Amino acid sequence: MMKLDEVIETLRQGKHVDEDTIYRLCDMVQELLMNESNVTHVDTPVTICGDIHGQLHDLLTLFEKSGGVEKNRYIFLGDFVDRGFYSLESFLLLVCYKLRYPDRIVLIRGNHETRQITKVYGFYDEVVRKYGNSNVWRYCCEVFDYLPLGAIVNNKVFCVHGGLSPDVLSVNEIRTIDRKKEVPHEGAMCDLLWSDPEDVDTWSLSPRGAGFLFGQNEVDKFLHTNNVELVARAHQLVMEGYKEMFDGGLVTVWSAPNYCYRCGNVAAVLRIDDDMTKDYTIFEAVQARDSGGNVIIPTKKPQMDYFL
Amino acid sequence: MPESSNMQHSPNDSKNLVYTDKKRVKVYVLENNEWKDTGTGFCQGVVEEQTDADLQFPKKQAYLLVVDEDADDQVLLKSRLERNIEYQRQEETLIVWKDLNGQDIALSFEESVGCDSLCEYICFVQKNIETRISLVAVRSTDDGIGSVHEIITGPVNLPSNEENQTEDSLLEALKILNENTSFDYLRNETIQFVINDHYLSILIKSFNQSERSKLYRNLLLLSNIIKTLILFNSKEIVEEMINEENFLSICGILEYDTEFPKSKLNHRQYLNDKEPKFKEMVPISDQSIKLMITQNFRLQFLKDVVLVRFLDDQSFTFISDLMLSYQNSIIDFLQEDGNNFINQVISMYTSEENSNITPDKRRDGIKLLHECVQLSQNLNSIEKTLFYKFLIKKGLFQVIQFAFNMETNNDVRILATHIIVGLIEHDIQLIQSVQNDEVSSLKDQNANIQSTDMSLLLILTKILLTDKSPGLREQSFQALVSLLDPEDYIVDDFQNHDDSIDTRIDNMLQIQNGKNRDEPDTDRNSERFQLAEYLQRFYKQVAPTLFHCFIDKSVNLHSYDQQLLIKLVKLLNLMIQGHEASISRRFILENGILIKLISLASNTYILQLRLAAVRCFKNVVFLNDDFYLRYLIGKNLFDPVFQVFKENLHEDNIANSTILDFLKSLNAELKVVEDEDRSLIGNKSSRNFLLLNKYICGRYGDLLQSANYVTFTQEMMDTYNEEMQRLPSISTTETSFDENDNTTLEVEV
Repeated sequence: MMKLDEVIETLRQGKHVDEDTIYRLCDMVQELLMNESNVTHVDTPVTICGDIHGQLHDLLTLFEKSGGVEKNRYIFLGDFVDRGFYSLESFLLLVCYKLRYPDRIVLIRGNHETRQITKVYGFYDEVVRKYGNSNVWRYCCEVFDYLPLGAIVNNKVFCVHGGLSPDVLSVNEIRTIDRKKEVPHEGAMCDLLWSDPEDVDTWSLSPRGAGFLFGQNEVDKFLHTNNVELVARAHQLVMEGYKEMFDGGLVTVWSAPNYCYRCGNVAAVLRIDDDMTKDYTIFEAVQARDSGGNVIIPTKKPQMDYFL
Repeated sequence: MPESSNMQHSPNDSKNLVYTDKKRVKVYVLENNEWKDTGTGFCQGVVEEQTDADLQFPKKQAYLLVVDEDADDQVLLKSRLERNIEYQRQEETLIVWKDLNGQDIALSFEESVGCDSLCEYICFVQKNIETRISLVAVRSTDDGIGSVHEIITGPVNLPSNEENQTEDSLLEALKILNENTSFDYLRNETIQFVINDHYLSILIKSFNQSERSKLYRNLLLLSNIIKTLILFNSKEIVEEMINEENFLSICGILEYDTEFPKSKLNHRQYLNDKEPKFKEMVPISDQSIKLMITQNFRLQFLKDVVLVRFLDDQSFTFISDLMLSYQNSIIDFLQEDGNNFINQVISMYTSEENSNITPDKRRDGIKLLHECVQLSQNLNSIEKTLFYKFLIKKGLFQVIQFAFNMETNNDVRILATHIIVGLIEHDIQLIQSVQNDEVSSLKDQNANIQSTDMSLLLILTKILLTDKSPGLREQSFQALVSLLDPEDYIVDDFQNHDDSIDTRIDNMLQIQNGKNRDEPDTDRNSERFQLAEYLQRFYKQVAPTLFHCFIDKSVNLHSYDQQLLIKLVKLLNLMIQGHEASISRRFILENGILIKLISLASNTYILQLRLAAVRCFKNVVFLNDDFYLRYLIGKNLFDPVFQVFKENLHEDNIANSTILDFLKSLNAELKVVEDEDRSLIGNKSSRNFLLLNKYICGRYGDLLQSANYVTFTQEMMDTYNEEMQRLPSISTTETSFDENDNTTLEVEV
């Protein structure tokens, strides 16, 4: 089996890692994740990042522009996979960083970290294309089940992928969820990963078919009850990279520039310093280059011999 | 149809051709910014032909003619269709235009049918006589603001079809093609042009020249032109692009990309060097099918590799649909028995004469069959079933058995399990149906002969327990999950095949707790009967082997791979949840399986396994089954669970959350009980939770009270204290639930 630093280097180049190594990595990271609570406590300073969606080369840019995980703390708000062509490499890279610097990086679960969704939106297909079978996908899905549901920074900034839930008034209530399961179709665990903020007066039906829409009232109540200043979340594409709402009570952070290689948006990460000041770093999609300086053009791996 | 009407004879031998019936209209002209009604009459499209000795072809002039309805010799309007007049069709019944004198004219038809008729006439005139006029349909947009102008007919800009293209002509072509995607009419005309004028050949020629002469701007333009042509979503164009002659060149053109102007992809090199080959395992005589197989591959290559960043949803769907039509044809071909293709493939594994077949060829055969199953993924449900049944009837299972028993290459064995999983996940009754056929043909023989489905289960069991390849064990586990999930039997269109065993278990829990069960109809009854038989056989023939390590007392579970144990626990979970208790419970209780299960919660095992055991245990509790609950309490099987709780009492981690979740759910059940009238507790099951609470609080009360960071543990204690005060004579170790319960269960002590 490869050493961790070698694996990291291989993944950064978007190259193939063998199935056995992946199995071991997934196994090891499960042990780490099991010791994390459903809502992980994190200290400042920390950089909060939104959806990545398999855009490996943009993830590398993200680290470059924000100082890198060797020297900085990070929280990733989920949705590491699907849509981009390097879902596996992106997710495994973050897993490796978690193994290498366990106290520096927190990964929480997004609504795409499930078997159902990844079967449809690209991760499953990507694995079958690259390995000929779906085992690696299964190993990763098992890891997804162990990801925490949220994080809290200095007890002041609540981080979650989607948003709030009518079943969760206090952050403490999240503790009593058994998170080792596929994200359900309803209930607190589902809402946290699927809800969206919107200009509504109260909890409303979400057009997504899961989670709820929630407005300023709900956010204010949540902030007040839990004595926090800010809800930081991702889940929705923002053309400018980040968007503050509700008098600064909530912010959406989106970290996949030029989403789907088409949308033309910029991306952002949010740094929170010790004095709780907020600092946004914006970055664009740049052309990926390999170690020889040649441009890497993102594409899917082609099929080999065929009989039919 | 034009009727010749000799209404007028003029000196130069002209005649009028009338193209439409009389349609009733009102004529309006715009004067001083107001529409003035100039009369009501009948409108016709009329073409005057004038033959002249000097002219080679008769001169034609087209008119819109309206005569007064009351006096048909009185002409209200005779307007010539000429030059580049644009006719607008508004609403359904208006035609509006400005003639060459600048006069705005409107015809308001009585019926939209009439308007249709004259619009057809205008189209005819445009195509045959005055090609520069146009007809545009004007509609208001959905939101009521603004309007859409859709061209119905008119002159069409087309790219130059010169043999020698220049940068300018290519740029122009790109512009024109972009514009022409916007309306159906322009689109269709352009497609005709591309096909009839062999435009692709022209482009390819230009490409070859540009590559040789290194004219990069041309190359980028050509790439964009091809991409734009694809956006036309035209079957004819795409099929021409992927034909033998053009495909390589088209891929070549698409190697250049304006998004990466200094780079070039290597599609041609890949196709030539790596040469994904069409491996013709068994000769296919039907050339059109061979063609489709190749075209299917080429489309896949275009869709997934060459155009992957470029295709929008519509084009993606269009290409997928095209591939689907090929795939359907291929599948139809395979199923036609006369072709013998599948026969020949499968006979490699079954027929004695074929023992000289090389292992490589046999491997290829399995890969081919795997592709068959992959190919059928996009069929609709009924077609899929038919196709799979066909494969099974031809002997698919013999191939699978060969793969498991004889094949040593792991990749191939994984493919075989993949095939099985694919079939199972589609419709588990397929496996059933084979067994039923066998049973009826084995009437005279020993009933203990293993049927195919049990053989399959045993093979999968063997792989799960003993195979060296973790990947293969994983696949076998998935196959077992599918085969043991009764949902796939009972629910007819269970489309939502979520792989996750956890979700299956959740689903089962919901069904178990569902109070309203429909009266089963006779079909359901026979299905349930078949299912019951199938499960009986499973518990008799397979389960003892599968759970051998839980049954055999001499086994030390610590010597087993813990990942394997986790899988066994998950299977157990599924069986307990999903199989009727009357079938499964005996096996579970008689073999002391729950004792072994909960021993896995001890801290000598890895946490994943411990918690998996606790979760399974939780599900047993919430089945609310008298026997199980009695057993769990009687043998104090809750101890290991609360041991886990104790070890993590003040930690905020998964273990702590798992137990809290359990206690929270138990407390919720108690609240349900409280809603019912306590004094009338004739309902055994709601009493169960009260008694369970009493046992737990009595035995582990200290722990519960220490967990003061949540409220429900205290609520449980409160309920317990209330009960104790109500009925102080009942000891806390009371375990019988109902003195009138006469059923006994032989349980090993």
